[in-house]
Amino acid sequence: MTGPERPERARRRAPEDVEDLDPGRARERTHLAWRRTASSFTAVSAAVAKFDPAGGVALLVMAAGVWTIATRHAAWRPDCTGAWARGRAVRTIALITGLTALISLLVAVFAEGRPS
Amino acid sequence: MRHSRRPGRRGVRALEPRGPAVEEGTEPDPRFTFANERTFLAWCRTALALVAAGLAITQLLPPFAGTPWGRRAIGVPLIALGALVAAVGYVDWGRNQHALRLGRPLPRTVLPLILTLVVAAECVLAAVLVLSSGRAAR
Repeated sequence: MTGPERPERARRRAPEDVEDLDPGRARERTHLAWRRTASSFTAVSAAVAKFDPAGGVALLVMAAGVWTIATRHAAWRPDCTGAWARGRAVRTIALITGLTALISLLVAVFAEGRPS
Repeated sequence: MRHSRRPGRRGVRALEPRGPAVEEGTEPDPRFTFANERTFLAWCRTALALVAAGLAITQLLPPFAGTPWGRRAIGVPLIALGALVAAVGYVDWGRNQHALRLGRPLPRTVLPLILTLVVAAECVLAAVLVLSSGRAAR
């Protein structure tokens, strides 16, 4: 186990076969991809908050949810490699991306924008 | 190895990965599952980038002279494309995982085609707006 998981948690959860815990670096790459995605959500939410505080705060709350999924659920649970065990996280992210686009669309249509 | 708690349930295959159709086959190598998930997340970030670009165009760009709807005409389709990319990316994730479970070739995706066509159309529209507003200002 060479991933950045805290050692005491790793010991508590470690299965007998280390391959089950660590399928190459795939888990780590996936974890980083989750974190990049969460960062992107935060950036877009902050941008929306600049133009429309109410929508932006709603999106920032959702971005916090994405961070929670990204750091806790998504990549580290050793028992969580099965596709449909991970499906809920993927569905949640797809839904939040759709909501982000929807709120941004409303801001783009109804907010005034920069005057000349 | 089945994870569904509702094995008898029949749902829309694309939107309901717990349905019986996707429970066929065997659990693939975890590395493939992870790779499929990263692909979905990459599309997700692409969608967010499109949303951010659309927001920046509608809110930060100075208005086109003589074309007050110009900024929205460029920005709103980009944001709508972001929503579409997220939705299709999710459907593709489910289809890919289904193919992996069955050991079949991965299905083709329409996402690159959609993205290419819309971005190309946006480029043409932006060029037309820039040229026409330049003429109006003179």
